[in-house]
Amino acid sequence: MIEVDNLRKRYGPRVAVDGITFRVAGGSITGLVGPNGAGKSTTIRALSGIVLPSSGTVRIAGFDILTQPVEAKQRLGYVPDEPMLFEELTVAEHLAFTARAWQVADAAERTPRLLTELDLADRRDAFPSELSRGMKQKLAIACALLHRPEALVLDEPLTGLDPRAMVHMRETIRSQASDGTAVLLSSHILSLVEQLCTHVVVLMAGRVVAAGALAELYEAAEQGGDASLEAFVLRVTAGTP
Amino acid sequence: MSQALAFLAQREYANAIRRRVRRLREPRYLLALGAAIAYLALLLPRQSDVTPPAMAALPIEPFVTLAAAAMLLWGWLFADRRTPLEFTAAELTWLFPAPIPRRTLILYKLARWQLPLLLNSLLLTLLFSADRSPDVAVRRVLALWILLATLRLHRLAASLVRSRWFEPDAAGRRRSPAIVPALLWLGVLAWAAIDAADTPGMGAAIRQFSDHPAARAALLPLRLVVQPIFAVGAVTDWLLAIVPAGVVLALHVRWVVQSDARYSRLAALAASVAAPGDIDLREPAYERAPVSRTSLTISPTGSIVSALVWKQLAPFTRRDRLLRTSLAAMVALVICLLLRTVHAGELAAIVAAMLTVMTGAVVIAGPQLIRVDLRRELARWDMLRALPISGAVLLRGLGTATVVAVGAVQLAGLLLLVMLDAGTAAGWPGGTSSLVLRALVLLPPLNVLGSLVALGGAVLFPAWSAPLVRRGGLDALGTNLLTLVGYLASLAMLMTLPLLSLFAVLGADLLLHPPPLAALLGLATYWGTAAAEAWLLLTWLGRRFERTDRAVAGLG
Repeated sequence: MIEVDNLRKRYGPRVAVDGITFRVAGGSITGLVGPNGAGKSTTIRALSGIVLPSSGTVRIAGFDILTQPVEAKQRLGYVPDEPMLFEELTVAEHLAFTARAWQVADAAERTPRLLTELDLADRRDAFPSELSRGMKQKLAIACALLHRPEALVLDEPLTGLDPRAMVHMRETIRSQASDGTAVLLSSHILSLVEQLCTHVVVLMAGRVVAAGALAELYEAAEQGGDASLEAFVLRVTAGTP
Repeated sequence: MSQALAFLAQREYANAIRRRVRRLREPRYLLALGAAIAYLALLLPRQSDVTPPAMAALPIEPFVTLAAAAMLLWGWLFADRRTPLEFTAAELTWLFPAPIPRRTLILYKLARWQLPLLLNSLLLTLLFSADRSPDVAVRRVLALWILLATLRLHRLAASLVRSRWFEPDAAGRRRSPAIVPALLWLGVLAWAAIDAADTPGMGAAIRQFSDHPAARAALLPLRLVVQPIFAVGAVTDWLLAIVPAGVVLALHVRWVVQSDARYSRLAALAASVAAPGDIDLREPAYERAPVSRTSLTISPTGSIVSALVWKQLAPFTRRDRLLRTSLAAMVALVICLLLRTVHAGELAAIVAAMLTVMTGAVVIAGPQLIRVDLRRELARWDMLRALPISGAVLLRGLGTATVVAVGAVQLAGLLLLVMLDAGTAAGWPGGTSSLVLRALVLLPPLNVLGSLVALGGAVLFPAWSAPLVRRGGLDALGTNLLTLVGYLASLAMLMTLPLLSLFAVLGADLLLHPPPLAALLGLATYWGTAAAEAWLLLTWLGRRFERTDRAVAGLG
């Protein structure tokens, strides 16, 4: 379970996130959508404990990210939009380090399985400089999944992936959710959100402008005369009634 | 196409200069530039009238030739073989797929090196040349530039040959015949060195070695490129010297262009882009060399601190790197043993003095100089923040890596000093072993506090750390100077209390032979005070790290 209550984040005079509240239940997949600068990445970085909220609370599996950061992060898997890997560690060594950081006792069995699932098995001895953007993204995902997180947060997870990897990634996300993981993903690709997500949170200028189950948003779109979810999101993020 | 490359170079230089000038509006860059200029201004007048006495007795031209030969030998033995030409990611992305002949690309890359080399030549002339008349200075700058450019090209060519030599296929070795003359060259020099070894006095020995017919022949190309530096007095002499030097430089350009055109898949593979034209990446000979694995492994459970230490030190424990380091250490050990056993007097004293200065620098400023902690990971600040550990634990792991690395380097330096018996030669009470024993018990707290000061710099002022320094230039020099001064001042403050407590217990006995009980009590107070300071500092810095966003810290 991911719980966000009245989250606010300021950078000096600029308010990046302005009092947003939402929940991601275990087993559900929530899409965080909105235009550039809406506050998606800041929200995700606050959920991961990378930036500290100016006010409000974030709880991961019941643990407050501000007051119990270690316990909260222990239950969280985070995939950044730009996979900043350690240049001097190989693929296998990244997973070995992640295993120790999250104390994954069965890493020896899980690592080869994850590498095979993500088509990285033959690149286990490669350095990040020898990997394509998509492969780096897959490695970041493998590291995030290694410790079986209770909450999974993905920032633009399909960026840089080839079509086959995209299909695979969608299956992986679904399978995580079906195992009871609370999944939150941010994306610009609304078709992905429609295919994958059970719930959607729409952000605009740091505020939640629409939120709910996908079916509820379809209903709201129909009532507003929008032909599609995309038209609905474009309308609510344009600030028109 | 060469016009496009010229445009690219011209715009990149112009924009870089404009950006550097514009950023001087920020106080930290202005302060750094001021510090660098003040430092160089302090250095300049001293160089013209002061020559170290040991150097004054040396035959300078043969000495420079020998020093250049040693640099080249080092390049052949230890050069990095992964990315010899060092194309940037942007160059690989934009220039490799462009319809530019491979040869033009290499020449472009070589041309881009020349401006920094010319600036270095100018700086060396200003710092080390007594004669400041403009025409002599210009001749010396050009002569130095030819020497530096030739050395750089030779090292690059050596690196390319080594790359081919270490390729997994035997065909590569057959295609790199330069290794045979290189071995012959070494053999000839060794023969001349053995012949000159008995000559008493270092200056005479160097002269004897340089005049040996075998050495004269082997070092001829190097002598040709060194000669113009010492023939700047008369224009005719200089012209007579500079022409052969230019020929040697041109031959090196040709060597590099031909070598790299043959072995160009290295850079292409690094960027996962296809090299245009003549290279078929599917050819088995161009397959990637196997990765050298680390000698250390970690289990999935256990202390996170040890995992962080492992992560930071893993790059240095890869087998190929360990092999090179061990080889260098063995060579240094053998040299020190030879200097001690053979009656080498003057030479042994010079080596011992150099080694003492280097070890002293690592003792005093090791954690600031050896960057294996947060300063290497500033780009991955967010990843580190996402780890399920407290800031204090994270910094403890990263700081421990620095302490281990610095300790290893200090130990190596001390071991070599023991080999040379430098402490006894310098008149240290109790000799070298006493000096080393004191270092071993006194250094760990110094290293721990030093690593925390260095970490503190990265946590409190991250924007002052690595990115600017890697770029070079005057403001980078100033930043290095200011951070070093800040480091030393902070460390001095932190060491005051532990040292005072040590002196309070031992007094003047510290330098002599304190009674065992007093020594133990003194050390316990010294270590205890330092440990308490380290704990307080670590806790505070950990909290600061947890509460510092990379955007707010100026890391973007």
